[in-house]
Amino acid sequence: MDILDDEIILGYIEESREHLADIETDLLTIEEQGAEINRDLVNKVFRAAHTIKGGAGFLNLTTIKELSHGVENILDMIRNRALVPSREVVTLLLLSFDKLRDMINNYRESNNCDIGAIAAELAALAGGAAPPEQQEVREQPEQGELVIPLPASDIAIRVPRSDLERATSGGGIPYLLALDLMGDVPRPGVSLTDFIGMLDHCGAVLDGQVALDLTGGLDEEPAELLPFFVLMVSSLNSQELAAALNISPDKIIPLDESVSPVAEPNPTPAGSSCIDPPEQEFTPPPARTGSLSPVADHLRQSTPPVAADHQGGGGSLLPESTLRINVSLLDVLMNLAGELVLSRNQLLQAILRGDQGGLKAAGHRINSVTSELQETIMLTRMQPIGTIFNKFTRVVRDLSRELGKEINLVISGKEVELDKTIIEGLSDPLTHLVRNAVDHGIENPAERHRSGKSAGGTVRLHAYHEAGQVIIEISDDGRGIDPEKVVRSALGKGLITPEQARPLSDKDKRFLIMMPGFSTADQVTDISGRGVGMDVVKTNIEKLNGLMDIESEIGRGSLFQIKLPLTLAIIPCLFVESSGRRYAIPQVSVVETIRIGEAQIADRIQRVGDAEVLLLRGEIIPIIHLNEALGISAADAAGDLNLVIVTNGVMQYGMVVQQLHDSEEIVVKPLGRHVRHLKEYAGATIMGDGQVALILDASGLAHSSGIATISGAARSELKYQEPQREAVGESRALLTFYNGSQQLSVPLELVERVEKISAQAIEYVGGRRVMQYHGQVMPVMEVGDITSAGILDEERDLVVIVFAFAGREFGLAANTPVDSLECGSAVDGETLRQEGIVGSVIVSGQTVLIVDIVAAVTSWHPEWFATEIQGSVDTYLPPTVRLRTGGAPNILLAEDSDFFRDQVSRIIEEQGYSVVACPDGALAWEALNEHEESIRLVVSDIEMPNLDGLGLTRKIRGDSRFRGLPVITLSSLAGEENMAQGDEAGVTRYLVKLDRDELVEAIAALYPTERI
Amino acid sequence: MQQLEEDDDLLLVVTFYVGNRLLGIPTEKIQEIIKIGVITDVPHAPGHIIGILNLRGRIVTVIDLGTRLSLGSSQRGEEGRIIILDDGGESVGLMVDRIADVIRIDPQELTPPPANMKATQSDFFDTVYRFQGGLVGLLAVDAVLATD
Repeated sequence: MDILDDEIILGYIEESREHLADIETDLLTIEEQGAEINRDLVNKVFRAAHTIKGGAGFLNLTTIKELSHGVENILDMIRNRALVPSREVVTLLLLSFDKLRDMINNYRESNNCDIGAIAAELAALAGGAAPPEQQEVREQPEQGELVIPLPASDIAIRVPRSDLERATSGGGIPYLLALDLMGDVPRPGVSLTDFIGMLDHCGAVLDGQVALDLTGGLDEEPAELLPFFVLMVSSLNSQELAAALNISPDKIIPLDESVSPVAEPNPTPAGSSCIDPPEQEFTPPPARTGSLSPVADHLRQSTPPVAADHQGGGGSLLPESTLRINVSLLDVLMNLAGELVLSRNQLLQAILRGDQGGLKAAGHRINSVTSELQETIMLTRMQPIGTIFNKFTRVVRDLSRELGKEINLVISGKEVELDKTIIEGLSDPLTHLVRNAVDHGIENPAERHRSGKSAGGTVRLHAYHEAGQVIIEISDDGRGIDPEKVVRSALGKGLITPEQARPLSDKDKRFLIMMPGFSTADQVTDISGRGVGMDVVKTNIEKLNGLMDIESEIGRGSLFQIKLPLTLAIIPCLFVESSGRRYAIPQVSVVETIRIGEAQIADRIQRVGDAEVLLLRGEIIPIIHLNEALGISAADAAGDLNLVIVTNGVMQYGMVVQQLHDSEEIVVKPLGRHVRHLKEYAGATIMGDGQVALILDASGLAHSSGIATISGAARSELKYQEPQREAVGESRALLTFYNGSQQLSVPLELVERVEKISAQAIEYVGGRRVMQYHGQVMPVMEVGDITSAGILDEERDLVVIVFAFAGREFGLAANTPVDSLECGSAVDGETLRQEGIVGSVIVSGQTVLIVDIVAAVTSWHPEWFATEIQGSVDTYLPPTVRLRTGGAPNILLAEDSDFFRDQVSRIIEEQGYSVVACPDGALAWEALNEHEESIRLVVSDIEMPNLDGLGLTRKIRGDSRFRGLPVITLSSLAGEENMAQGDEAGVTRYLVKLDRDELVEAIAALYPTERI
Repeated sequence: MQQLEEDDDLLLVVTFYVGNRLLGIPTEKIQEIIKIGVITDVPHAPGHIIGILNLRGRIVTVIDLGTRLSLGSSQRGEEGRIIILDDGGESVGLMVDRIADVIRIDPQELTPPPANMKATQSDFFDTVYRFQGGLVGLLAVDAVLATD
């Protein structure tokens, strides 16, 4: 075995792999086409099998040769339309090629492989479907093989007689070629495989044999030739053949009757040569679809699940290490290398001469050449993703068959290119996701029928470019992921506590499937379980600097989205600065950057518990300060706030940095082992000035800052509910808390802070509860003072929720956990309305009461409001207001939601104005006409029945009496388009619901002073 | 420096100071010695990690040898140097206060560290060597580079 040159073997393996690479796709296409075969395609596969067989013969890889021979026979029959490539036939071929691939990857062991069963199966299929013209031969079967003794050697070529007969039946002449593997082949420009190709062109090769016994033993002089013999049949005469192969004619021995082949009984085990057809096969149909005995089924089962290890294979001796490169790309590289040498020479000369100008020029040149060189070299690593997409046709085909499902795989975006390393790393996770889709996602036909779907499911694989990244989507139209089931399972496995589960959004719940330990033995099926969980998939994707996202709808299907950088070695990063240090954030995790003016900070950044949050277009986004997160203390300097909104795939959060710099392409370098365990960093890079900058890891940083906890994720749920929320048109942020076991909430915009306190902090002074807060005495209430919903449990963790009203603070004592959430559903202001309760909302299937904190404070401390209004008149309000207070209404409010109408009316009245509030635009228009004289300003919702806010505004602007009336609109619809619509209608100020201070400020600014 | 005859059995050792202690590392374990350049600190890294630096395109982790040996942190003075070691394909730097001589020593004369050395420190020393009336502690490089 090892006698032949390693180089020849490696060349053979390499070429065989190339041949095998496309075979799967080709075979599946052949199956699809059925009886309408595409001759060229079948020929292509045939040639591949043939070449493999030929090479194996030369290299004494007998088992490979035997199997490829069997395959070749079947393909020959398909090519001649003697056999229809049915599903069974193609399955057998696929299995055979799998086996061939395994053996080629492990060529040293290949001769010990047991291929008996599969070879017998192939032989049976070939025998049973013999084409009619050969029936005569078969009717008088000659037993066994032909043995052709080789000249000057003890060995002989054995070939099944039927093969020779079949080959010569077309009028070909059998030849024996006596070649020398040291002299004739390989020769310059013609590799061994090339030569086999040439042989193929001239005729049909039946067998080849290396005469090792002629090379002599170790103790003898090394032989000068390594003879090898080829038995072939060609229609050319020996002169023509010699010319075609470019060998001397004396090496060609025609096998006429004089070299009469000796017939021998079949000495080889069953299956390795042509088996005589059984009796009943004497009158076979001209072509049959072929049926498989249980052996094929057995083979299928014993073959490990078609997994990622098709190429390169588990434990293979020879991992794939070569890469095909476009020649034109190599030419470009050569040119660049030439330019580099030229530039080096210029540089050396300039250095020798001390020529500054020359140095500069050479520097420029080297700069541009090296960048181009780098780019071009990166290009050589780019591979189309089709190389891994293609194998899923087979995976899905086999799996769906095994599971009795009908699945159509739709692949698009095969041409999208990614770095070779990423492509390789993607193979396993994608296989897992596709298997999941087939196994868990798509229902069986009966179930699909019941839910009114077509029997066949569809799995889609889609790749495309977006914003310098590659997106890969695996979607199915199956049953979807039921978030409640996931939660039950996670609870059952003890991965989360019921308390952690409660605030989770459906999206968060689905993400639980990616928690380590979620996928356990009880759901390991043969198909997709394999003990590998989604957490491994996620980890693998993250290793590639990718992100994963899951979308799913029960009964409609699921979508797994993977975002990947184009290449691992060079990634675009945003540079930021904090405490004088520069850090890089991979662009893939950056959502946007925001600068908040100093004046707006108080409005936009709020505290919930000990967490800071940013209000961004109605979303609540947790924020961290980079310097604090990294433990470099130093509070951020006053002034504008620079924020980078980043995502870790599950949630978004804001990162406060001191400065935002440019985005740059950087080369990622791994960190040393002493610091590699730090999850905050994804690596390091060397900047232009030679200094090192750390690359931040958005998920790691979220984790170490403690905002990646489950409740933190819930805080960002709003983002994922955006579509629904816009449909509803209303949304409100609530702070939820507990009063004993009762979950309650208050509108978040009223909350100033939430502080942890101990029960002792609350004192009783003069029959009222107070506590020391920031050096002042602050009144404290509990829900029991307002309404009878739950009883405060003083044994449990206590917090005080601090509200500010009319310039004063007061606290509400409550139990933890405290969380904030945005609810998409409308507030029900009627069903549960009672003393102290303004309404209720449904949150994650539970009813949460909203405490009427404004009413509570007004009734508890009525004096606050009276004194406040009097005290603040001069400083806060335009002088006219005082005159209007208590008189005819001077502000018109149109708002359809009871909850908001209440809240907004109160806010306005708190300021001393008098409000007339209407539930829609039409009624508001009536009210405006009625109070034509007194109304000075209109505050209106946008989404309203009968007449919406924009309609109302247009009506106002269209009437000469009200043309100058300021109109403030409140809407949960932020966005330039909406604002533009507002502008068009004539809205004076467009506010996003509901920021109390912003509203107060706007009213104060717009309330006309000149008209009394 | 003691001039000894060329002898393959002799061990070439670079000696250096951490605080006022004279320590040594066999030259065969040293890749190079560089001046202290710009070091980027790595927040949240263990206390003895000073940071990372760029050594001709490679990222090198720098350890403060003084802190690592509980001998007080390095001075980072004018004479301070970083000894670059090869740590299984990775480069790691040890910051020391001053490089002394390269000495040749006879391995026969190496003795175990004194029994009264602090247990935490004795882990970091393979052996000690009498040199010009003083003692040179030979660093157990693997222990120094170990991650806990």
